[in-house]
Amino acid sequence: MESVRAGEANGKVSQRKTLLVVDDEPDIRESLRDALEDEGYRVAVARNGKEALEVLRTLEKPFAVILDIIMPVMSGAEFYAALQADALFADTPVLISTSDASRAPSGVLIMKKPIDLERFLDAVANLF
Amino acid sequence: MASLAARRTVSEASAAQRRPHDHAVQFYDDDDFLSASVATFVGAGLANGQAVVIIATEEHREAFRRALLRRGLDVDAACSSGQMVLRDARETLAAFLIDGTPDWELFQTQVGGLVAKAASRSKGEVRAYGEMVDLLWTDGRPQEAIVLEQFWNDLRGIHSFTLLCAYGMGNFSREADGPDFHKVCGLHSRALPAESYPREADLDVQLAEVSRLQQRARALEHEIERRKQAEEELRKSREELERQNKDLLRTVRFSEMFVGILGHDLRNPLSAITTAASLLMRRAETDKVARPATRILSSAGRMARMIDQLLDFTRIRLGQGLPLARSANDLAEVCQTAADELDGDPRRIELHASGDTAGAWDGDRLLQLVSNLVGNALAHGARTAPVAVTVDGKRLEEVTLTVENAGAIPPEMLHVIFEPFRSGKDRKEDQSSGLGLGLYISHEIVLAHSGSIEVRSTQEEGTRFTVRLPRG
Repeated sequence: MESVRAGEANGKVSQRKTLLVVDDEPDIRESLRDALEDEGYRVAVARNGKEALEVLRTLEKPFAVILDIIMPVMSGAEFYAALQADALFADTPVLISTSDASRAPSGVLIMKKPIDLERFLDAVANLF
Repeated sequence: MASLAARRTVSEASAAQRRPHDHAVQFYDDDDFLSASVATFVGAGLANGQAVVIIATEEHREAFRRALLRRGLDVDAACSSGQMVLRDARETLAAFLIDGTPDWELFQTQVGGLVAKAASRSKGEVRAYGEMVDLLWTDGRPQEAIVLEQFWNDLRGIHSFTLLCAYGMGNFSREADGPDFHKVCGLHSRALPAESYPREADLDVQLAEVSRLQQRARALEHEIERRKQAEEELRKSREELERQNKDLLRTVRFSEMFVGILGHDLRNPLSAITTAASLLMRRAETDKVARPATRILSSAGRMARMIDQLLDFTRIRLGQGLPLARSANDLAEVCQTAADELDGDPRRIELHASGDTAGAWDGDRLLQLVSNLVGNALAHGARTAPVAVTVDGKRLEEVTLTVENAGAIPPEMLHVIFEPFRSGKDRKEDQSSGLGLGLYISHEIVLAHSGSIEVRSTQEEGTRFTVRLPRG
């Protein structure tokens, strides 16, 4: 059943698309990784904005970012500003997943934690 | 009762006792009184052929001249003959100050010289009037004035002359001036009271006046003491207020921290639980796995709603209110969304809309409001009848929402229905427990939109919540 689901999902994700999950909560990172991999995505993870900027340079396009906001070292808002300032990555699709939407940069798709997985996966599919 | 013989005025008495080389001080409130006093002092000297030295401000010199003229004394002639010498107080003072402090050598040269010169023209009989001490005192330099008084006394040890000083009583209007005032009096052989003292009256009147002044002084001392106590109490109250303020700030900081914990720290692990449970459901091949995953999701959802409610409650109680993001919304559509989302049997919700149901409202908050009202109606209403949700947009300025269900709210609950953390005595056992914040927050959402909410509930008519929302 699981493999069928993954297979169906893989069918939906025709091209191997990559998602970079940036969140300081390991349980959230890994749960999202599992859910996204089930859907056929390739998944990379980072614990904060700084780490995400490094990982980003190693990814093959197309890719998108699932971004938490409140994180140590470099926040999601700081990461997003750095992303926008870099011509190479400025057009990267971003989905913000946060517990405090008021701190998120404006003009970005936001999903409030705790997220509804079905809606989340729909939103991710629409990122590309 | 004083005898007739004793009924002499103080002036007569003091005149009789006046020592040949007095150093008197005249206190005064009004310049006219001072002029009269100085004219009496100087006039007596001029009439007796004594030399007169006046060291005064220009304004006072002119006033003295007028007062002496009124007494028939020719000031100009006295000045021309050298019997009378007039000097400016400010200039004379400047001539013997070094770095603002009176210098004895310079004083002796400048002022002593004047007195000596006057004495040489009048068989040694000299009357001097000076108000440089008054200037120093007015300038806020009482200690320098006291030094100058001492210099005058020392000068009287060298030259023979009678001296009159003057001080405006305004210099001593504070309680703290008491010791210096006492010191000034002590530096003079006589202190002459200001005009408020009836010095021309008979002794009985003057004694009565002294008694009145003693009473007034005592009353003032009491008043000062009372005010000191009041100030002390005020200081204590202020300290108490500051302490309470600090406590309050601590509470606010704690509350802000609490909001942070609610808003972020609790939601994150809850999100991990929800995602993992959802994943488990997606991967589940049997109900054996799917059922507990559903329960985890259901409980996590309830917990998320409670966190949201606690967060809203804390924001409201911190005085921050509920922030609104107004945009074009349709209340009928919001009600439909709420009905679709609610877990209850959709057939039990009957939605009716009429007129223009659009307005500028916060869509998420309205959904929260409608979900709460309809959710309550489904949970608490009698299952025999459907829940009726009516949106009436026929009025120009507002849209009305009513949510009706069969069954009544116990009368004792009605008046506290919008209070936070209501007791859940009316809950049925199969209903999930909540925090009792739903209707409180619903009420606040309506208030934030400048609307109103009311409830009517009777066994016969059932329960009806009515919300009126201005279109924004």
